[in-house]
Amino acid sequence: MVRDENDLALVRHVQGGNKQAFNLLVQKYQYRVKQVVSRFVKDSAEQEDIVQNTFIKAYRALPGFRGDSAFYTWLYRIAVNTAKNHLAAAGRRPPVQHLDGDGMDRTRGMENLVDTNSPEAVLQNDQMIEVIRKAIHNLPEELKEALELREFDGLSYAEIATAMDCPIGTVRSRIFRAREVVGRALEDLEEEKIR
Amino acid sequence: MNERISELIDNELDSRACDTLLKKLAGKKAGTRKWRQYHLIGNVIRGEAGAGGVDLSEKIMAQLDKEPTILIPVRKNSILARVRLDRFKTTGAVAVAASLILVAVISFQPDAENRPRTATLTQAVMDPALIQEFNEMLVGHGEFTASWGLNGLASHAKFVGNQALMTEIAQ
Repeated sequence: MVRDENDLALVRHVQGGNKQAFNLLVQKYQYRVKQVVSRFVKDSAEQEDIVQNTFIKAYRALPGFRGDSAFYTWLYRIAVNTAKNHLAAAGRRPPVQHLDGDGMDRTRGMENLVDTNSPEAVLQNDQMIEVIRKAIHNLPEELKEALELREFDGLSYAEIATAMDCPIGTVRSRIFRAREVVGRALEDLEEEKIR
Repeated sequence: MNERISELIDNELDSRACDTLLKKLAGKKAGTRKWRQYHLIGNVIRGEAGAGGVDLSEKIMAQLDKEPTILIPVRKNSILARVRLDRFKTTGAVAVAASLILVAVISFQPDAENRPRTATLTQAVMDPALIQEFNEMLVGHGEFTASWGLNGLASHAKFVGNQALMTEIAQ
């Protein structure tokens, strides 16, 4: 697995007074944090509140972050505690299952929670995800394989090069090209929405 | 730039390049957009971006505008400190290399001032009395240096070393 040194570098930038660097951490982890929160709360608006509070709390606590653990591990704990506190304040109990689980089953224990996602938000999100999935599906095989080995299996370029029996430069180029193709599909969707 | 962002996301840049690019990215719209886009693709592949997923970064950053800016001293073992140290080392190495090159260039440059002295030396060497005296000196020293096994080099060193003396004698 690849070590995430970007996170530490970004943290140090924030600690050094660069507030905008925190935006990159938010963009990187917001969906993962929301996924963690969704184990406790099913309502999308509530989830968003908890995700926002998680990042605000993380920002405030950042001066104390020494990098002893990975940034995401630290953020994960904040997200879990924020979600638990949210439920406690609302007089609700957190679902017993998966408080510290690996997230493989994300729906168990949430059957009684109310889903108030607006149909528009669901549609927009589903469209976006569908576009990404379709674009990935339509990628040339070698681009798709390289991208998935990186994103899903977490392999380094060197490991992918070995697995695909090609030079590292080719891996780098394939992953980039794959991202560009999918990114262009996303941009097309955004442009359609504007029209 | 986008290819570098792609590498950055994959942790394939060294710490210095990573640091430089992150600095460039923070606050730049186009770069931030690519960063977000590439991460979203990864989120979808890993099944992390699900129903109801919306970009909350603008809302969060708007809230953070009300927060004071964090400013803590850089620790010695922090990444920023390491990056700064790396830069210092690199700058130092470049300075030392530049000095060495300068010294080498100066040392091997033909010295215009020596040219007349070389001419004088040539004239001096043509004087049979001086040649005799010089040869005796070379033989005497040659016997000494031979015991060290440095004949070729020592003879050359002696000759060069005695240029000034011979010029003086010739004058």
